[in-house]
Amino acid sequence: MLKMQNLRSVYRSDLVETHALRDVNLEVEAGEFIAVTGPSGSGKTTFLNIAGLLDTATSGDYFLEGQNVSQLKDNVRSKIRNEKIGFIFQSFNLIPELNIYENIEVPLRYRGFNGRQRRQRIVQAMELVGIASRSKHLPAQLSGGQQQRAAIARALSGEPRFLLADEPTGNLDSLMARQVMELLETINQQGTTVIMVTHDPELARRAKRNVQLLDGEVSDMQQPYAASLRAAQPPQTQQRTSV
Amino acid sequence: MLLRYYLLLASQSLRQAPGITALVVVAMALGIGVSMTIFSTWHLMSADPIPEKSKQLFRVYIDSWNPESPFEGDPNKLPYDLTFRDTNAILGSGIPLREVAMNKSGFVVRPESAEIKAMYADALLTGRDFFAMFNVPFIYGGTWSKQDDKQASPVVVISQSLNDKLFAGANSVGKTLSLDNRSYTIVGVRGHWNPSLRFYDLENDFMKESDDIYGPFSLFAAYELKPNGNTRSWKREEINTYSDLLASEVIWPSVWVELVNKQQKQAYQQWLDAYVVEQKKLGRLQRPLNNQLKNVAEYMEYKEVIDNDTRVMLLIGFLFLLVCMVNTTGLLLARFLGKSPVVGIRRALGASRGQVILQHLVEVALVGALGGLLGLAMTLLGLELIKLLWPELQSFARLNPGLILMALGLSVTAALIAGFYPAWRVCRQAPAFYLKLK
Ligand SMILES: Nc1ncnc2c1ncn2[C@@H]1O[C@H](COP(=O)(O)OP(=O)(O)OP(=O)(O)O)[C@@H](O)[C@H]1O
Ligand SMILES: [Mg+2]
Repeated sequence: MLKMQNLRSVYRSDLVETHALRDVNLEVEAGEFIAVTGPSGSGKTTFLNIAGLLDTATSGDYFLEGQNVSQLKDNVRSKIRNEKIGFIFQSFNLIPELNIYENIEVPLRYRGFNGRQRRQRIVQAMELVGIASRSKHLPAQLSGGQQQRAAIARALSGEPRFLLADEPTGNLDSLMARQVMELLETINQQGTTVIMVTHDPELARRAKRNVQLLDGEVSDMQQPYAASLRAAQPPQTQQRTSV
Repeated sequence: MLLRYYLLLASQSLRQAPGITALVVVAMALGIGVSMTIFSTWHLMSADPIPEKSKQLFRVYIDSWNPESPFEGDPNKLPYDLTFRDTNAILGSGIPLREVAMNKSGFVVRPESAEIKAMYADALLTGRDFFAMFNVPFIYGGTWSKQDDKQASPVVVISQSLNDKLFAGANSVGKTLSLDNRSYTIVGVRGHWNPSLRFYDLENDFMKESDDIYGPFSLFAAYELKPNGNTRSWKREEINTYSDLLASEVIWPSVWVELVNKQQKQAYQQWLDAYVVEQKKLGRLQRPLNNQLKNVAEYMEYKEVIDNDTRVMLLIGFLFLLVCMVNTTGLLLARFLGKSPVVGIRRALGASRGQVILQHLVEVALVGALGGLLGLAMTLLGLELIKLLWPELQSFARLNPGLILMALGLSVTAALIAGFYPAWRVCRQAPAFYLKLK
C-alpha cells in the first residue's frame, strides 16, 4: 500500500548539508498501525512529511497504492493529500481564527463537497471524537485534548485511507494521551492505516509494528504485521532494511 | 464554488487585521486618487467635444504669411487665422454642406430695465449656419436668415444665461437689445451648450465658457466692430481706416466648413488650391502652396490643447500609483508571510498551490476594490483642489460613469499586480516548510 525505496532527504543550506534520511526502504500494508520511534533529529518528521506528500525526497522512489508519487505535479499531490491522507500534528495545527466546525470543514471545502455533504461529515466526525458540543468554539477556547480530538475529526472527516500522526500526544497529559491513543486504535480497527511518530515507549508498544529511525536510517524493525501472511512470497517484495 | 469560500476567507482576513487592511486600502486609494484626478482631467480635455461630427468639421488654413519667412519662423506652422479678404473670397464656393466665418467681439449691454446694470458680454460674430454646424441647441426662436447674413441685419441670438439675467428667462424673441448703443433684434435664445472647451475657437482663452451673444459676421464690416482676440500681420502696411484693415494682410477671422465625405473634401481642397493659385498670379500668397483642412481632432492637436506639461503630469500621476503599488506589495508580503503557517495547514489539508494563490488574490482584489472606492472619494477631493487652483479647468475637473468604472477597475488590477508576488511567495515552498514555522 505504501512503499519507499532508497529514499534520501538532504537539507542543503549555504554552509551545511543535513542528511535527514539516508536510504530508507519501507513497505507498509493496508490496515497496519505503525509507531515510528527514534531520538530527536533522527528524521521522523521528515519521513512523515515525505510519506504525507508535504515534502519531496531528494532521491528514491515512493509508491502510494501502487502509484509512484515522487514526481507528481503539485495539484495532483494536493488532491491525494486531500482525499487519501489525514494529518495529526503535535501542536494540533488548528486554524486559530476558525471555529471547530470551520476547521473540520477546510479539507471538505477543497474536496468540493456541498454544504449538506460537509455538514453531515463534520457532525459525524465530531461525534466520533466526542466534541460535538464544541462546534462553535474557537480552538483557543478548548483544552489541549479537545483540540487534538478536533484535529483528529478534521483528519477523519474526509475518510482518508492513511492517518499520519506526528507525536499526536506530545502536548497532552497522560490521561488525554491515552484517550487519543484509544481513538487512533479505534480508527485503525475500522480499516485506516495509521503511522504514528511517538517518543512514548508505552504507546509505541501498543502499535502493531514498530519502526525505529536512527540518524536518518531505519535501524530496527519488528516483524512486519503482514509478513507472516506472505511468507511464501519472493524475497524482493519483503521489507528489508538496507544499511 | 470555491470562489465564494475564498471571498468569505478574504473578508474574515481583512477584519482580522484592520490595521494592515487600512494601510493597504489607503495606499491604493492614494495612488488611485492622484492618478485618477490627473487622468480624468486629461481625459476630458482630450476627449472629442463633438464626436458625432468631429470628422466632418474642418478649419481652413491658407498660408498667407511672409514669402521670406514662415509663420512664427516655423516651416511646419500655418497662420492661425485668415485675412478678411481671403475669408470673404472663400465663402460661397458652394461645395461644403455648411460654412461659416467667425471672430470674437464684445458689447456693452444696456438693459431696458434700470434695475439691471449695464454689463460687458462676449460675442461671436459668425454665419447663420454656426448653430447647425456645431449642434448648438435653442430654447426659443432660432438662427437668423441668409438675408440677414448678406445684409448685416442687426439681429442676435443670446445665451440662456443672458436671457435669464435680462428677461428673467421669458421668451425674448422679437425683443430688442441695446448693444454699444445700437439696437438689435433678438431672433433666438441659445439653450445650454457648454462644450468642455471652445473647440471651434482655440486661438484665445479656450477654457472660457461659450459666448453670450451671437450675430452675423457681416456686422464687423457694416458697423466697423472691433475684432477681439489676436490680429497679426507680417506686412508693414498703413492701416488708418477700417477699410484699410479689411484690405490688409492682417489675419484675424477664421472659417469652418462642413464636408460630409471624402469627395466633398477633395473637391473643396482643389477649389481652395485653385483660389490660391489665382491669387498668386495677382502677386499675393507667394509662399509655397499649402492649404490645409484640419478636422476638430487635428485642430486640437495642432493647437496643443494637451501640452507636454500635462503629459508629464499624467506620467507623474501614474508613477505615483506605481509607488503606492510597491508599497502595497511590501505590506501584503508582510501580512501573507505572517500568516504562512495557516497556509501550511491548508496545503496539508489539500489546497493546491494554485488554490492558495487564488485565495490570496481574491483577498487582494477585495482590498483593491475598497481602495478603489476610497480612491474615488480622494479623486473627487483632488478634482475640487484642481478647480480651486485652476478655475479655468472647471469643466474638465469632473467624473463620469466611465471614469468611475475605470478607477475601480484600475484599483483592482493594480492591487492584483501588487499582490501577485506576495500570493506566490506564500506557497513557493513545500507545505512542510510552512508547518515548521511557528
Ligand atoms: N528545514 C530544514 N532545514 C535543514 N535541516 C533540517 C530541516 N528540517 C529538519 N532538518 C534536519 O533534519 C534532521 C531530521 O529532522 P526531523 O525534524 O525529521 O527530526 P525528528 O526526528 O522529527 O526530530 P524531533 O523528534 O525532535 O521532532 C535534523 O538533523 C534536522 O536538524
Ligand atoms: Mg519531529
